[in-house]
Amino acid sequence: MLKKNGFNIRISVQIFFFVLIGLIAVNHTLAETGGGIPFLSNASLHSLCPFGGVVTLYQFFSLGTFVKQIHASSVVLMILIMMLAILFGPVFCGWVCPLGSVQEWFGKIGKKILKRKFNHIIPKKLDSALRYIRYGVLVWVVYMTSISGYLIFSELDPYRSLYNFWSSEASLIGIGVLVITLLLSLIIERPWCKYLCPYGALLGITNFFRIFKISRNSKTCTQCKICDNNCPMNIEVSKTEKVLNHQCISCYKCTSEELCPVPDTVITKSISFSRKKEVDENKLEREVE
Amino acid sequence: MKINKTFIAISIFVIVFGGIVVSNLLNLWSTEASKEPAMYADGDVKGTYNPDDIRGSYTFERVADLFSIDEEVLLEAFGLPEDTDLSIFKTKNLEEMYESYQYEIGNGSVKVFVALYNNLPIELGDDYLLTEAVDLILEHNEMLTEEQKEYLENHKVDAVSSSHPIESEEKNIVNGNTTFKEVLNMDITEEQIEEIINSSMPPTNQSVRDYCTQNGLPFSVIKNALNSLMD
Repeated sequence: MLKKNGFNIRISVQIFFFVLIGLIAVNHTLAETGGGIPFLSNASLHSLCPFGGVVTLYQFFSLGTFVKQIHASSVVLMILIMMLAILFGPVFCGWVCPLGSVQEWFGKIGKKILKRKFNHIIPKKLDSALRYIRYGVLVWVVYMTSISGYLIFSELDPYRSLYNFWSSEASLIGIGVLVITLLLSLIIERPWCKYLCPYGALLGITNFFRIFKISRNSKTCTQCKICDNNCPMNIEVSKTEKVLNHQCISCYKCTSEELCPVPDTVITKSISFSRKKEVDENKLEREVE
Repeated sequence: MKINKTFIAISIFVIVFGGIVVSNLLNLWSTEASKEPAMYADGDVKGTYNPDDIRGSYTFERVADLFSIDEEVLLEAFGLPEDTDLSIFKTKNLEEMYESYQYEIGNGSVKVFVALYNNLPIELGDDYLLTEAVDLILEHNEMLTEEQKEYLENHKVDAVSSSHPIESEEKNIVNGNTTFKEVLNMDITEEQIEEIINSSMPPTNQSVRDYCTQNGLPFSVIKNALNSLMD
Protein backbone atom coordinates (compact mmCIF):
# COMPACT_ATOMS: atom_id res chain seq x y z
CA MET A 1 0.00 0.00 0.00
CA LEU A 2 1.28 3.46 -0.88
CA LYS A 3 1.91 5.68 2.08
CA LYS A 4 2.30 9.39 1.50
CA ASN A 5 3.39 10.33 4.99
CA GLY A 6 3.66 8.70 8.37
CA PHE A 7 1.10 10.81 10.22
CA ASN A 8 -2.53 9.97 9.60
CA ILE A 9 -4.72 12.68 11.05
CA ARG A 10 -7.89 10.60 10.72
CA ILE A 11 -6.48 7.79 12.84
CA SER A 12 -5.41 10.36 15.44
CA VAL A 13 -8.95 11.73 15.58
CA GLN A 14 -10.34 8.18 15.84
CA ILE A 15 -8.01 7.36 18.73
CA PHE A 16 -8.90 10.63 20.44
CA PHE A 17 -12.64 9.92 20.41
CA PHE A 18 -12.17 6.23 21.24
CA VAL A 19 -10.15 7.13 24.33
CA LEU A 20 -12.34 10.09 25.30
CA ILE A 21 -15.60 8.13 25.23
CA GLY A 22 -13.87 5.22 26.98
CA LEU A 23 -12.65 7.45 29.79
CA ILE A 24 -16.08 9.03 30.19
CA ALA A 25 -17.69 5.58 30.33
CA VAL A 26 -15.20 4.44 32.99
CA ASN A 27 -15.75 7.69 34.87
CA HIS A 28 -19.49 7.07 34.79
CA THR A 29 -18.97 3.69 36.47
CA LEU A 30 -16.57 5.22 39.00
CA ALA A 31 -19.03 8.03 39.78
CA GLU A 32 -21.66 5.46 40.70
CA THR A 33 -19.36 4.26 43.45
CA GLY A 34 -18.29 7.70 44.61
CA GLY A 35 -14.99 7.89 42.74
CA GLY A 36 -14.17 9.46 39.43
CA ILE A 37 -11.61 11.23 37.31
CA PRO A 38 -11.52 14.96 38.10
CA PHE A 39 -12.32 17.48 35.32
CA LEU A 40 -13.80 14.76 33.12
CA SER A 41 -17.49 14.27 32.36
CA ASN A 42 -19.15 11.26 33.95
CA ALA A 43 -22.12 11.40 31.60
CA SER A 44 -23.86 8.18 30.68
CA LEU A 45 -23.16 6.57 27.33
CA HIS A 46 -26.75 7.18 26.24
CA SER A 47 -26.49 10.89 26.86
CA LEU A 48 -23.49 11.09 24.51
CA CYS A 49 -24.96 9.05 21.68
CA PRO A 50 -26.24 11.20 18.79
CA PHE A 51 -28.47 8.36 17.58
CA GLY A 52 -30.41 8.76 20.82
CA GLY A 53 -31.39 12.16 19.47
CA VAL A 54 -32.83 10.53 16.36
CA VAL A 55 -34.94 7.94 18.16
CA THR A 56 -36.35 10.46 20.62
CA LEU A 57 -37.54 12.94 17.98
CA TYR A 58 -41.05 11.51 17.63
CA GLN A 59 -41.62 11.55 21.39
CA PHE A 60 -40.09 15.00 21.67
CA PHE A 61 -42.47 16.47 19.11
CA SER A 62 -45.54 14.47 20.17
CA LEU A 63 -45.19 14.63 23.96
CA GLY A 64 -42.48 17.20 24.63
CA THR A 65 -40.37 14.67 26.53
CA PHE A 66 -37.34 12.53 25.77
CA VAL A 67 -37.29 8.75 25.58
CA LYS A 68 -36.10 7.27 28.87
CA GLN A 69 -32.32 7.60 29.43
CA ILE A 70 -32.04 10.12 26.60
CA HIS A 71 -31.25 13.72 27.42
CA ALA A 72 -30.96 17.05 25.63
CA SER A 73 -27.27 16.38 24.96
CA SER A 74 -28.17 13.57 22.53
CA VAL A 75 -30.34 15.93 20.50
CA VAL A 76 -27.61 18.59 20.46
CA LEU A 77 -25.06 16.01 19.29
CA MET A 78 -27.46 14.70 16.66
CA ILE A 79 -27.79 18.23 15.22
CA LEU A 80 -24.02 18.81 15.27
CA ILE A 81 -23.26 15.46 13.61
CA MET A 82 -25.92 16.13 10.98
CA MET A 83 -24.28 19.52 10.27
CA LEU A 84 -20.96 17.75 9.77
CA ALA A 85 -22.62 15.17 7.51
CA ILE A 86 -24.26 17.82 5.34
CA LEU A 87 -20.86 19.46 4.93
CA PHE A 88 -18.52 16.50 4.57
CA GLY A 89 -20.67 13.36 4.49
CA PRO A 90 -20.73 10.75 7.28
CA VAL A 91 -17.41 11.81 8.86
CA PHE A 92 -18.92 10.65 12.15
CA CYS A 93 -18.67 7.07 10.85
CA GLY A 94 -15.19 7.35 9.40
CA TRP A 95 -13.57 9.62 11.97
CA VAL A 96 -15.47 9.65 15.26
CA CYS A 97 -17.58 6.55 15.97
CA PRO A 98 -15.60 4.33 18.36
CA LEU A 99 -17.42 1.20 17.20
CA GLY A 100 -16.44 1.97 13.60
CA SER A 101 -12.85 2.57 14.69
CA VAL A 102 -12.53 -0.65 16.63
CA GLN A 103 -13.94 -2.63 13.69
CA GLU A 104 -11.40 -0.94 11.44
CA TRP A 105 -8.55 -1.85 13.79
CA PHE A 106 -9.68 -5.47 13.93
CA GLY A 107 -9.84 -5.33 10.15
CA LYS A 108 -6.15 -4.50 10.00
CA ILE A 109 -5.44 -7.85 11.66
CA GLY A 110 -7.78 -9.58 9.21
CA LYS A 111 -6.05 -7.91 6.29
CA LYS A 112 -2.69 -9.28 7.40
CA ILE A 113 -4.13 -12.77 7.62
CA LEU A 114 -6.35 -12.87 4.53
CA LYS A 115 -4.37 -10.44 2.35
CA ARG A 116 -6.32 -9.69 -0.88
CA LYS A 117 -9.26 -11.86 0.11
CA PHE A 118 -10.00 -9.59 3.06
CA ASN A 119 -13.19 -7.60 2.55
CA HIS A 120 -13.94 -9.49 -0.67
CA ILE A 121 -15.40 -12.68 0.77
CA ILE A 122 -19.11 -12.13 0.17
CA PRO A 123 -20.36 -12.40 -3.44
CA LYS A 124 -20.97 -8.94 -4.88
CA LYS A 125 -24.69 -9.36 -5.57
CA LEU A 126 -25.46 -10.70 -2.13
CA ASP A 127 -23.26 -8.05 -0.55
CA SER A 128 -25.11 -5.24 -2.35
CA ALA A 129 -28.48 -6.59 -1.23
CA LEU A 130 -27.37 -7.06 2.38
CA ARG A 131 -26.36 -3.42 2.57
CA TYR A 132 -29.99 -2.33 2.54
CA ILE A 133 -30.76 -4.23 5.74
CA ARG A 134 -29.56 -1.27 7.78
CA TYR A 135 -32.44 0.83 6.47
CA GLY A 136 -34.84 -1.78 7.77
CA VAL A 137 -33.04 -1.67 11.11
CA LEU A 138 -33.31 2.13 11.11
CA VAL A 139 -37.06 2.07 10.45
CA TRP A 140 -37.62 -0.70 13.00
CA VAL A 141 -35.62 1.01 15.76
CA VAL A 142 -37.21 4.43 15.23
CA TYR A 143 -40.73 2.96 15.02
CA MET A 144 -40.40 0.66 18.01
CA THR A 145 -38.77 3.34 20.17
CA SER A 146 -41.46 5.81 19.16
CA ILE A 147 -44.35 3.58 20.16
CA SER A 148 -42.75 2.15 23.29
CA GLY A 149 -41.00 5.20 24.75
CA TYR A 150 -37.91 3.28 25.76
CA LEU A 151 -34.62 2.35 24.14
CA ILE A 152 -35.66 -0.92 22.61
CA PHE A 153 -32.38 -1.22 20.64
CA SER A 154 -30.19 -0.68 23.67
CA GLU A 155 -29.98 -4.35 24.65
CA LEU A 156 -28.63 -5.29 21.22
CA ASP A 157 -26.42 -2.28 20.65
CA PRO A 158 -22.76 -3.35 20.31
CA TYR A 159 -21.62 0.27 20.86
CA ARG A 160 -23.19 0.20 24.32
CA SER A 161 -21.59 -3.16 25.06
CA LEU A 162 -18.18 -1.91 23.89
CA TYR A 163 -18.12 0.63 26.71
CA ASN A 164 -20.14 -1.26 29.29
CA PHE A 165 -18.87 -4.82 29.17
CA TRP A 166 -17.36 -4.39 32.64
CA SER A 167 -20.56 -3.19 34.25
CA SER A 168 -23.94 -4.66 35.07
CA GLU A 169 -25.46 -2.38 32.40
CA ALA A 170 -24.14 -4.62 29.63
CA SER A 171 -26.53 -7.27 28.37
CA LEU A 172 -25.46 -10.74 27.35
CA ILE A 173 -27.10 -10.31 23.92
CA GLY A 174 -25.30 -6.99 23.39
CA ILE A 175 -21.94 -8.52 24.26
CA GLY A 176 -22.73 -11.39 21.90
CA VAL A 177 -23.49 -8.97 19.08
CA LEU A 178 -20.26 -7.10 19.81
CA VAL A 179 -18.16 -10.27 19.78
CA ILE A 180 -19.73 -11.45 16.52
CA THR A 181 -19.16 -7.99 14.99
CA LEU A 182 -15.50 -8.01 15.98
CA LEU A 183 -14.97 -11.55 14.71
CA LEU A 184 -16.61 -10.66 11.40
CA SER A 185 -14.35 -7.60 11.23
CA LEU A 186 -11.48 -10.02 10.70
CA ILE A 187 -12.90 -10.99 7.29
CA ILE A 188 -15.11 -8.04 6.31
CA GLU A 189 -14.23 -4.41 6.88
CA ARG A 190 -16.73 -2.68 9.19
CA PRO A 191 -19.49 -5.33 9.00
CA TRP A 192 -21.75 -3.53 11.48
CA CYS A 193 -21.45 -0.25 9.54
CA LYS A 194 -22.11 -1.94 6.19
CA TYR A 195 -25.06 -4.12 7.03
CA LEU A 196 -26.74 -3.18 10.28
CA CYS A 197 -25.91 0.26 11.66
CA PRO A 198 -29.13 2.34 11.72
CA TYR A 199 -27.30 5.62 12.34
CA GLY A 200 -24.88 4.91 9.49
CA ALA A 201 -27.92 4.33 7.28
CA LEU A 202 -29.29 7.75 8.14
CA LEU A 203 -25.99 9.59 7.79
CA GLY A 204 -25.20 7.73 4.56
CA ILE A 205 -28.09 9.48 2.84
CA THR A 206 -26.21 12.79 3.14
CA ASN A 207 -23.72 11.46 0.59
CA PHE A 208 -26.24 12.42 -2.09
CA PHE A 209 -26.42 16.09 -1.11
CA ARG A 210 -23.33 16.84 0.98
CA ILE A 211 -21.65 20.14 0.22
CA PHE A 212 -18.08 18.84 -0.04
CA LYS A 213 -18.08 15.84 -2.36
CA ILE A 214 -15.32 13.40 -3.24
CA SER A 215 -14.64 13.82 -6.96
CA ARG A 216 -12.43 11.97 -9.40
CA ASN A 217 -10.77 13.67 -12.33
CA SER A 218 -11.18 11.16 -15.16
CA LYS A 219 -8.64 13.03 -17.30
CA THR A 220 -5.76 12.40 -14.96
CA CYS A 221 -6.97 9.08 -13.48
CA THR A 222 -4.75 6.17 -14.55
CA GLN A 223 -7.34 3.50 -13.62
CA CYS A 224 -4.85 1.86 -11.26
CA LYS A 225 -7.82 1.01 -9.01
CA ILE A 226 -5.92 1.62 -5.79
CA CYS A 227 -8.95 3.61 -4.64
CA ASP A 228 -11.33 0.71 -5.35
CA ASN A 229 -9.13 -1.87 -3.70
CA ASN A 230 -8.68 0.14 -0.53
CA CYS A 231 -12.17 1.51 0.01
CA PRO A 232 -13.39 -0.04 3.26
CA MET A 233 -16.95 0.07 1.93
CA ASN A 234 -16.01 -1.48 -1.45
CA ILE A 235 -17.08 1.55 -3.46
CA GLU A 236 -15.75 1.58 -7.03
CA VAL A 237 -14.42 5.10 -7.03
CA SER A 238 -12.63 4.56 -10.35
CA LYS A 239 -15.97 4.16 -12.13
CA THR A 240 -17.50 7.41 -10.99
CA GLU A 241 -16.90 11.12 -11.36
CA LYS A 242 -18.38 11.90 -7.97
CA VAL A 243 -18.77 9.52 -5.05
CA LEU A 244 -22.52 9.53 -4.56
CA ASN A 245 -22.72 6.22 -2.74
CA HIS A 246 -24.90 5.77 0.35
CA GLN A 247 -22.20 3.62 1.94
CA CYS A 248 -19.35 6.15 1.78
CA ILE A 249 -18.05 6.90 5.31
CA SER A 250 -15.86 9.83 4.26
CA CYS A 251 -12.63 8.22 5.39
CA TYR A 252 -10.88 9.89 2.43
CA LYS A 253 -8.60 6.87 1.91
CA CYS A 254 -9.29 7.07 -1.83
CA THR A 255 -8.15 10.65 -2.19
CA SER A 256 -4.90 11.90 -3.69
CA GLU A 257 -4.04 13.13 -0.25
CA GLU A 258 -3.87 9.54 1.00
CA LEU A 259 -3.75 6.61 -1.44
CA CYS A 260 -4.41 7.85 -4.97
CA PRO A 261 -0.92 8.10 -6.51
CA VAL A 262 -1.80 10.89 -8.97
CA PRO A 263 -1.89 14.41 -7.48
CA ASP A 264 -5.21 16.26 -7.57
CA THR A 265 -7.10 13.35 -9.07
CA VAL A 266 -9.37 12.21 -6.29
CA ILE A 267 -10.13 15.27 -4.23
CA THR A 268 -12.79 16.74 -1.96
CA LYS A 269 -14.33 19.93 -3.20
CA SER A 270 -17.47 21.91 -2.70
CA ILE A 271 -20.35 21.77 -5.15
CA SER A 272 -20.13 25.41 -6.11
CA PHE A 273 -16.43 25.14 -6.81
CA SER A 274 -16.84 22.06 -8.97
CA ARG A 275 -19.62 23.68 -10.99
CA LYS A 276 -17.61 26.86 -11.46
CA LYS A 277 -14.57 24.87 -12.49
CA GLU A 278 -16.64 22.85 -14.95
CA VAL A 279 -17.95 26.07 -16.48
CA ASP A 280 -14.42 27.51 -16.63
CA GLU A 281 -13.07 24.33 -18.22
CA ASN A 282 -15.84 24.27 -20.80
CA LYS A 283 -15.19 27.94 -21.56
CA LEU A 284 -11.46 27.25 -21.98
CA GLU A 285 -12.16 24.33 -24.30
CA ARG A 286 -14.43 26.50 -26.46
CA GLU A 287 -11.77 29.21 -26.63
CA VAL A 288 -9.13 26.68 -27.72
CA GLU A 289 -11.42 25.38 -30.44
CA MET B 1 -13.23 25.10 -2.88
CA LYS B 2 -10.91 22.16 -2.37
CA ILE B 3 -10.37 20.87 1.15
CA ASN B 4 -7.98 18.45 2.83
CA LYS B 5 -8.13 16.09 5.80
CA THR B 6 -6.63 18.61 8.21
CA PHE B 7 -9.50 20.97 7.38
CA ILE B 8 -11.98 18.19 8.08
CA ALA B 9 -10.31 17.24 11.38
CA ILE B 10 -10.38 20.86 12.53
CA SER B 11 -14.01 21.18 11.44
CA ILE B 12 -14.96 18.09 13.46
CA PHE B 13 -13.42 19.52 16.62
CA VAL B 14 -14.77 23.03 16.05
CA ILE B 15 -18.32 21.88 15.27
CA VAL B 16 -18.56 19.17 17.94
CA PHE B 17 -16.85 20.90 20.85
CA GLY B 18 -17.84 24.41 19.75
CA GLY B 19 -21.44 23.23 19.45
CA ILE B 20 -21.33 21.73 22.94
CA VAL B 21 -19.91 24.97 24.40
CA VAL B 22 -22.55 27.08 22.64
CA SER B 23 -25.41 24.78 23.68
CA ASN B 24 -24.05 24.85 27.23
CA LEU B 25 -24.08 28.65 27.21
CA LEU B 26 -27.66 28.54 25.95
CA ASN B 27 -28.57 26.06 28.72
CA LEU B 28 -29.46 23.44 26.14
CA TRP B 29 -26.74 20.96 27.07
CA SER B 30 -27.82 18.43 29.66
CA THR B 31 -26.52 14.91 30.14
CA GLU B 32 -28.86 13.97 32.95
CA ALA B 33 -32.48 14.30 33.96
CA SER B 34 -33.55 17.32 35.95
CA LYS B 35 -33.02 16.91 39.69
CA GLU B 36 -35.79 19.41 40.47
CA PRO B 37 -39.06 17.77 41.45
CA ALA B 38 -42.39 19.29 40.46
CA MET B 39 -44.00 21.75 42.87
CA TYR B 40 -47.52 21.72 44.22
CA ALA B 41 -49.69 23.78 41.90
CA ASP B 42 -52.28 24.94 44.45
CA GLY B 43 -53.35 24.92 48.07
CA ASP B 44 -51.42 26.11 51.12
CA VAL B 45 -48.31 24.32 49.91
CA LYS B 46 -48.33 25.92 46.44
CA GLY B 47 -44.75 26.43 45.23
CA THR B 48 -43.35 23.78 47.59
CA TYR B 49 -41.53 20.78 46.12
CA ASN B 50 -43.83 17.77 45.83
CA PRO B 51 -42.24 14.64 47.36
CA ASP B 52 -44.41 12.50 45.07
CA ASP B 53 -42.07 13.59 42.26
CA ILE B 54 -38.88 12.35 43.94
CA ARG B 55 -37.15 10.19 41.32
CA GLY B 56 -35.14 7.08 41.96
CA SER B 57 -32.07 8.86 40.59
CA TYR B 58 -32.10 11.47 43.37
CA THR B 59 -29.36 11.07 45.95
CA PHE B 60 -30.27 11.23 49.63
CA GLU B 61 -28.13 14.35 49.88
CA ARG B 62 -30.35 15.97 47.24
CA VAL B 63 -33.51 14.86 49.05
CA ALA B 64 -32.17 16.24 52.33
CA ASP B 65 -31.35 19.52 50.61
CA LEU B 66 -34.65 19.88 48.71
CA PHE B 67 -36.88 19.07 51.67
CA SER B 68 -34.73 20.46 54.49
CA ILE B 69 -34.42 17.18 56.34
CA ASP B 70 -31.25 16.41 58.31
CA GLU B 71 -29.12 13.74 56.70
CA GLU B 72 -28.88 11.98 60.07
CA VAL B 73 -32.67 11.62 60.08
CA LEU B 74 -32.61 10.01 56.63
CA LEU B 75 -29.80 7.68 57.65
CA GLU B 76 -31.78 6.52 60.66
CA ALA B 77 -35.13 6.32 58.85
CA PHE B 78 -33.82 4.03 56.16
CA GLY B 79 -31.41 2.01 58.25
CA LEU B 80 -28.34 3.22 56.41
CA PRO B 81 -24.90 2.80 57.98
CA GLU B 82 -23.49 6.04 59.41
CA ASP B 83 -20.64 6.11 56.93
CA THR B 84 -22.96 5.97 53.89
CA ASP B 85 -21.98 8.61 51.37
CA LEU B 86 -25.33 10.28 50.79
CA SER B 87 -23.97 12.32 47.90
CA ILE B 88 -23.92 9.14 45.79
CA PHE B 89 -26.48 6.89 47.48
CA LYS B 90 -29.67 7.13 45.42
CA THR B 91 -33.17 6.47 46.63
CA LYS B 92 -33.49 3.63 44.11
CA ASN B 93 -30.51 1.93 45.78
CA LEU B 94 -32.81 1.13 48.71
CA GLU B 95 -34.54 -1.45 46.54
CA GLU B 96 -31.30 -3.40 46.11
CA MET B 97 -30.42 -2.95 49.76
CA TYR B 98 -33.75 -4.35 50.92
CA GLU B 99 -34.38 -6.74 48.04
CA SER B 100 -34.65 -9.70 50.40
CA TYR B 101 -37.45 -8.02 52.35
CA GLN B 102 -41.01 -9.24 52.12
CA TYR B 103 -42.25 -5.71 51.43
CA GLU B 104 -40.59 -3.27 49.06
CA ILE B 105 -38.59 -0.48 50.65
CA GLY B 106 -37.60 1.88 47.86
CA ASN B 107 -38.16 5.21 46.24
CA GLY B 108 -41.86 5.12 47.09
CA SER B 109 -40.95 4.76 50.77
CA VAL B 110 -38.78 7.88 50.56
CA LYS B 111 -41.69 9.84 49.06
CA VAL B 112 -44.04 8.82 51.85
CA PHE B 113 -41.45 9.47 54.54
CA VAL B 114 -40.60 12.94 53.24
CA ALA B 115 -44.26 13.90 52.79
CA LEU B 116 -45.41 12.75 56.21
CA TYR B 117 -42.29 13.96 58.01
CA ASN B 118 -42.79 17.44 56.57
CA ASN B 119 -46.59 17.26 56.74
CA LEU B 120 -47.03 17.63 52.98
CA PRO B 121 -50.00 16.23 51.06
CA ILE B 122 -49.53 12.87 49.36
CA GLU B 123 -51.80 10.16 48.00
CA LEU B 124 -50.96 7.14 50.11
CA GLY B 125 -50.62 3.96 48.14
CA ASP B 126 -48.98 0.73 49.16
CA ASP B 127 -45.50 1.84 50.17
CA TYR B 128 -43.79 0.51 53.26
CA LEU B 129 -41.49 2.16 55.80
CA LEU B 130 -39.10 0.80 58.38
CA THR B 131 -40.30 1.02 61.98
CA GLU B 132 -37.56 3.58 62.64
CA ALA B 133 -38.95 5.82 59.90
CA VAL B 134 -42.47 5.58 61.29
CA ASP B 135 -41.21 6.48 64.77
CA LEU B 136 -39.37 9.49 63.41
CA ILE B 137 -42.48 10.71 61.59
CA LEU B 138 -44.69 10.29 64.65
CA GLU B 139 -42.13 12.11 66.74
CA HIS B 140 -41.63 14.99 64.30
CA ASN B 141 -45.09 15.59 62.84
CA GLU B 142 -47.84 16.21 65.35
CA MET B 143 -50.31 17.19 62.63
CA LEU B 144 -50.81 13.68 61.23
CA THR B 145 -54.42 12.70 60.61
CA GLU B 146 -55.90 9.55 62.08
CA GLU B 147 -55.98 8.06 58.60
CA GLN B 148 -52.25 8.74 58.14
CA LYS B 149 -51.45 7.27 61.55
CA GLU B 150 -53.42 4.17 60.67
CA TYR B 151 -51.62 3.92 57.34
CA LEU B 152 -48.24 4.11 59.08
CA GLU B 153 -49.28 1.47 61.56
CA ASN B 154 -50.30 -0.85 58.72
CA HIS B 155 -47.28 -0.13 56.56
CA LYS B 156 -44.39 -0.40 58.95
CA VAL B 157 -41.81 -3.06 58.44
CA ASP B 158 -39.72 -4.52 61.15
CA ALA B 159 -36.14 -4.73 59.98
CA VAL B 160 -35.51 -8.17 61.40
CA SER B 161 -38.77 -10.05 60.85
CA SER B 162 -39.12 -8.92 57.25
CA SER B 163 -35.73 -9.94 56.02
CA HIS B 164 -36.72 -13.11 54.26
CA PRO B 165 -36.82 -13.61 50.51
CA ILE B 166 -39.82 -12.65 48.44
CA GLU B 167 -41.43 -15.76 47.05
CA SER B 168 -42.02 -14.60 43.51
CA GLU B 169 -38.96 -14.78 41.27
CA GLU B 170 -39.02 -11.70 39.08
CA LYS B 171 -41.93 -9.37 39.50
CA ASN B 172 -43.07 -6.77 37.00
CA ILE B 173 -43.41 -3.48 38.79
CA VAL B 174 -44.75 -0.19 37.46
CA ASN B 175 -42.50 2.65 38.55
CA GLY B 176 -41.95 6.27 37.60
CA ASN B 177 -40.22 5.46 34.33
CA THR B 178 -42.59 2.79 33.08
CA THR B 179 -44.29 3.60 29.80
CA PHE B 180 -47.75 2.38 28.82
CA LYS B 181 -46.09 0.09 26.27
CA GLU B 182 -44.18 -1.59 29.08
CA VAL B 183 -47.40 -1.90 31.07
CA LEU B 184 -49.00 -3.64 28.06
CA ASN B 185 -45.97 -5.93 27.90
CA MET B 186 -46.75 -6.96 31.49
CA ASP B 187 -49.95 -8.63 30.22
CA ILE B 188 -52.25 -5.81 31.29
CA THR B 189 -54.83 -5.02 28.62
CA GLU B 190 -55.75 -1.65 27.15
CA GLU B 191 -59.21 -2.00 28.66
CA GLN B 192 -57.77 -2.49 32.15
CA ILE B 193 -55.55 0.58 31.74
CA GLU B 194 -58.47 2.65 30.44
CA GLU B 195 -60.57 1.59 33.38
CA ILE B 196 -57.89 2.61 35.87
CA ILE B 197 -57.14 6.00 34.33
CA ASN B 198 -60.82 6.49 33.47
CA SER B 199 -59.92 7.68 30.00
CA SER B 200 -59.01 6.37 26.57
CA MET B 201 -55.63 4.73 26.06
CA PRO B 202 -52.82 7.35 26.09
CA PRO B 203 -49.89 7.22 23.62
CA THR B 204 -47.99 4.03 24.40
CA ASN B 205 -44.64 5.82 24.44
CA GLN B 206 -45.72 8.07 27.30
CA SER B 207 -44.63 7.24 30.83
CA VAL B 208 -47.37 6.57 33.38
CA ARG B 209 -45.95 9.30 35.61
CA ASP B 210 -45.94 11.93 32.84
CA TYR B 211 -49.52 11.04 31.93
CA CYS B 212 -50.62 11.39 35.56
CA THR B 213 -48.79 14.70 35.96
CA GLN B 214 -50.35 16.10 32.79
CA ASN B 215 -53.85 14.96 33.70
CA GLY B 216 -53.79 15.79 37.40
CA LEU B 217 -54.03 12.16 38.48
CA PRO B 218 -52.28 10.85 41.61
CA PHE B 219 -49.41 8.78 40.24
CA SER B 220 -49.07 6.65 43.34
CA VAL B 221 -52.74 5.59 43.17
CA ILE B 222 -52.57 4.74 39.45
CA LYS B 223 -49.27 2.94 39.94
CA ASN B 224 -50.64 0.84 42.76
CA ALA B 225 -53.79 0.01 40.82
CA LEU B 226 -51.67 -1.20 37.89
CA ASN B 227 -49.33 -3.13 40.16
CA SER B 228 -52.27 -4.80 41.87
CA LEU B 229 -53.32 -6.28 38.52
CA MET B 230 -50.04 -8.16 38.43
CA ASP B 231 -50.48 -9.80 41.81
